[in-house]
Amino acid sequence: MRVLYSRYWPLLAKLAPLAAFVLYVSAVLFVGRRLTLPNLYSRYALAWVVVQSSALFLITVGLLANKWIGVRLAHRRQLRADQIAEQMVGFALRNQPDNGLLRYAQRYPREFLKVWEGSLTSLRGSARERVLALLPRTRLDQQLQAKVVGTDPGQAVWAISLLRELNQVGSLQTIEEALQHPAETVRASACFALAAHGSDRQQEKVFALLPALPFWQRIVLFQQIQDSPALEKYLALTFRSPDRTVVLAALEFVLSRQRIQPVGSAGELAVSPDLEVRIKFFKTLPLLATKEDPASLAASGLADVDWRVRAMAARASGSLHLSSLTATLAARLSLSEQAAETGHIARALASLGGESLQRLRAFTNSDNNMTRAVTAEVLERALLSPGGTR
Amino acid sequence: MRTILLTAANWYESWVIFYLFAISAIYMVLSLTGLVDLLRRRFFQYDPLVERTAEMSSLMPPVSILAPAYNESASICQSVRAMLALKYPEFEVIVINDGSKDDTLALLIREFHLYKSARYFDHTLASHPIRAVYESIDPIPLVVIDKENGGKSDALNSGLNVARYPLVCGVDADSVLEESALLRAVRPFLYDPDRVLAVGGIVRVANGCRVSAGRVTEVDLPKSWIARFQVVEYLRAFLGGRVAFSAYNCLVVISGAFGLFSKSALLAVGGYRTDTVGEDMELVMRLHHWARSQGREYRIVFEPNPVCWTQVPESLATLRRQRNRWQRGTIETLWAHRKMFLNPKYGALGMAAFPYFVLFEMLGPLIEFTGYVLTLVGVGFGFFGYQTALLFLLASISFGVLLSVGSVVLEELTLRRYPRVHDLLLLVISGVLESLGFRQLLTVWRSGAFLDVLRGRTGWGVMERKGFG
Repeated sequence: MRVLYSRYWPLLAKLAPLAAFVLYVSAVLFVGRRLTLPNLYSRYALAWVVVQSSALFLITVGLLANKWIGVRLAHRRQLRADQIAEQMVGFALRNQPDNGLLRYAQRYPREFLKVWEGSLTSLRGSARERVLALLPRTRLDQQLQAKVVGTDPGQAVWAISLLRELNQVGSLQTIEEALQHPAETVRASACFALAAHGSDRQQEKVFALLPALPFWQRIVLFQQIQDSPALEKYLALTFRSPDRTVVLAALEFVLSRQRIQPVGSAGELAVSPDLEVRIKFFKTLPLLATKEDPASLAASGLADVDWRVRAMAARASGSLHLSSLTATLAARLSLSEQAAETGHIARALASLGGESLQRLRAFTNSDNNMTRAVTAEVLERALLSPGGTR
Repeated sequence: MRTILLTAANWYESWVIFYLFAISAIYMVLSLTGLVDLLRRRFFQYDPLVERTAEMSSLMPPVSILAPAYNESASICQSVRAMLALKYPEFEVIVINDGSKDDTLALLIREFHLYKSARYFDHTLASHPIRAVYESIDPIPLVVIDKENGGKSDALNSGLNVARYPLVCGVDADSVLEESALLRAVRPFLYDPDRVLAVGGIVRVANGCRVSAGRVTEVDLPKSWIARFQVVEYLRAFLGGRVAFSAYNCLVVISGAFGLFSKSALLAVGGYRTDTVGEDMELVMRLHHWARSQGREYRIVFEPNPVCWTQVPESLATLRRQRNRWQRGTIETLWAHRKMFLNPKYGALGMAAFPYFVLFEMLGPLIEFTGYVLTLVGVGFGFFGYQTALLFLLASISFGVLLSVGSVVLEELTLRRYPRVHDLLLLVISGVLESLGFRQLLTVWRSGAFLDVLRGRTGWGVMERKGFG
């Protein structure tokens, strides 16, 4: 298993098929030399047929036997799991003691854990708590902890997904060790678990790793992070960080949570020299509780040199209902040459309603075909929306 | 004269034998590379949390699904419902009614409460005129483009003009995507956002499966042997070939039935070409060409987990038209990009994948077909013994069977979509029977495509649509 993590793996992965092929050719040559046909072509053709037929026979028998055994084992496991599930329901509803379940856990740990995991997703309240507390009594949590730091990445990920439900100090410490696991999938799972259930110290450790994590891991991680003092501390620092990756990660975090986030002063981000930071900042602005007046921040965005920043600032103006920016938005709409920017400005004006909507209607007579068409589309959408136009 | 004929026949026979060994060797290495890659994926499965969470995240890149439809009234409503029910945070379904002669558009308007919308779009890519754009009055992300008939590529180009999201997913309107297909297909874009240009998913045979409410609810094998042979064929092509080509970043084709692309890359290469019937393969080749000419690092990836279920032909006539079209598409594409052939500037693509496709996918049927004919002629005229000919035929057939059964092994080791022992046994039998006549029939049909290309034949031919009902 360790070879899967080794730096030689990519080379081995490329060589393994070639090695298997060489073995195959060697087998044909070996059989060919033992045949006595006078014609060379016929001799090796026959050898080829013999080797292929043997390989085919072995593969077919292996395949079918494996499936047959697998299906039967799965059926038996399912029967056991059904029995365990029956007892688990009784236990969760306080109708039955845990003796039977503990016996099952010792004899059939795999099936027990499967049922236990399923119960946690379907149960709520005290019943769930009872089922949760059952695992340490079976001592299977210790086996799972061993799997977390074991070499099999699939087992480690599975063990982490079960242990994180327990929310125990010992389990979380083992999960913390998995942050050093050679497999990326395991490290990612450990991060997710600690972000959701870890102590302040463990969460801080994950936050420190956050900007360097791949984008997809950040997406998952952001959804796992719970409100905590560690989070507040982290966010307060990140928005003033000189490192763009840290700032971008923090903005993504706020964006993915879709909740208002107090961030103190964030005005510097509106005029950041980094284009991506400005775009993301204005995209996130409706969710940021800043010390600065959002209208003045949005106005600076609407005056940006890049149309993507202006588009996001317009979007924010609409979301935040910044009616004071109506004139600025209308002025920008008459200047916009990008359909996407025009669309955002027009939607912002439509969502502001009242005078803004009147101003938007005037653009249906614009000389610019694109502006006219986009305005018509936005007005049509506004009319068809549940509230219609205000 | 006899001596000359004998020498020529022997020379050609030797070449065919060499060809047989070479193709066997290459297929074997591809299958084994696929096996290694799939096994590694099996060991490194991600936390189920990843999929659950990604489904809810507002950071996921939104996707425009493009579904060209031509006379699809049999299955269009079910397909669209399935697309709308996909698990993905933000997407839009754009159905392009490519001048259907049946009631495809009327059905869509009635079923999804469509109205003629004022939706704005740029005419970045040239396409046949759009008559109207429809959107639903219901809160569903459905857009229907009604345009004049211009073929699949033209329809896709219209869809690209109307699409608003950074990723576009081309699907066949008669196919069914699995619920989490988009979430899975988008992964490479998330793992490597700067380099990935396109991702292809696996296409599986839906004949025989139980489909309800636009979802494959029970996987089963088709009743017809023709469709069963195609199940094995698809497994071999996707799990053996494409996984291996993807590992070396020289994937040459992403199936038109299900592929996810960066919209900016598609617009940069000028969208789909309308003068070929192999538009899916041609597009991928052009993406390779463009990325390399720009000197940018890029990846074109095959993912075996996102599944698209499709109906395959069960009648020989339809199958013949389909294979003829595929072969013509391959010939046209490889000819159009002949500059890549053995061109070191294109790396593994130019030096290995392209020659492989020329020699074994494009010329293969012709070589195999002439090999059969010459063998028969040679045996008939006594140029060589029938035992030798029979042995080579046996060797060729047994190798074909070995590869087919090998692809069933790949399926069983990794994705395990077929639940019963009986299914596997049927697949193995199909793998055996496929090599005893069916493959040879396809070889003859594919060889005929050369004549059609020389005659300048274009067009798709009529395809029967059965629907999933």
